[in-house]
Amino acid sequence: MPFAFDTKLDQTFLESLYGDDVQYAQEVFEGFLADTKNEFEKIKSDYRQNAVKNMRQKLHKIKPTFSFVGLTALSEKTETIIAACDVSANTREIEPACSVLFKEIEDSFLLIETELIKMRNHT
Amino acid sequence: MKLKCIIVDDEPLSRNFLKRFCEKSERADVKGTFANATDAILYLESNEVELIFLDVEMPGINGFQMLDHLSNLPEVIMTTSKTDYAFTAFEYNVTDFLKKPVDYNRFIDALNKAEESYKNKPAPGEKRDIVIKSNGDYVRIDYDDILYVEGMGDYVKYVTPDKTYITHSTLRAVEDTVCKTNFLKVHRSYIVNIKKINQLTDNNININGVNIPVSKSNKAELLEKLRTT
Repeated sequence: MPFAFDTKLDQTFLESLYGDDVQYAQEVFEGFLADTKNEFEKIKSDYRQNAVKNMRQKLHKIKPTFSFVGLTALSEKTETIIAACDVSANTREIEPACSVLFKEIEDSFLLIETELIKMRNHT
Repeated sequence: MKLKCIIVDDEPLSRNFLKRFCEKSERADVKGTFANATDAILYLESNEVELIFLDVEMPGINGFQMLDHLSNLPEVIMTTSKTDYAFTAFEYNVTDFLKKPVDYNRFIDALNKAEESYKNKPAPGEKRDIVIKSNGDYVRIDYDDILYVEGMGDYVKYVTPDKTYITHSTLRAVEDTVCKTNFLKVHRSYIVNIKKINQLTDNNININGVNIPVSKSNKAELLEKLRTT
């Protein structure tokens, strides 16, 4: 039985990316959690330290990775914050938008962890 | 055909995806993956590749700056999550521009372009044009414009779609200078641009309405060229 990605994820894109190769999708989802979670902690640290440029660079780096796990909308929202970083002198200017984004990123980790468990149990 | 390539991207998942796509296609042989341009430049100082998958925004030297460092550019497929760089990529004359995340079909399109461009690239030292003296003037003719060259004793006639140039030379001398990929001597008096052949009948080829004889001894090579060029 083919694996069905969660409807909250961009199923069409994920299917075009992985086809029926669930094992590879699993590797990518694991890689995403390992790398992006770590990078996200650094982003939050940059935010607290008001290091807009560093934060922007790290957001740019993680942006495509959201798409690889089907979080296409999150990738687009991250781009909006990146654009805001380009015209902001400090993180306070973009505080509301950042808070929303950070919350969504944290929620997405839970979604991807659940998806990963589903993949591991898939036969 | 498998293009020797490297992947330069600071983001590990993007690198892995491109590597996997290359392996899946069986048309690109990944010789190395690099997280930054500096390491890639060092690698290219002592290794030759035919294709680079290159991210634009990277810490330190960015993708375009890396291209500035390279004297001999192979095929380059830029990869980026922003389309803003498309115009700059165009100015750098890169082979293609892929927006991340890259899907496999789009990747194959880019690979097709790279293969096509690589096949048409002159070999190192090979020229793209020739300068001849015709009617007392020096004229530059792009090899791509030449339909065929006809030998007439101590003179040769370069035929292009618009004009014919006669110069003092021999067909043998022309044969030594033209690009071996696209040109072939098909008869003791003719060298033709393979890409311009419209039709091949028994012992003749037709280029732009002109019938050119093909020697029996050259026919097998011509057929092989037509299959592979």
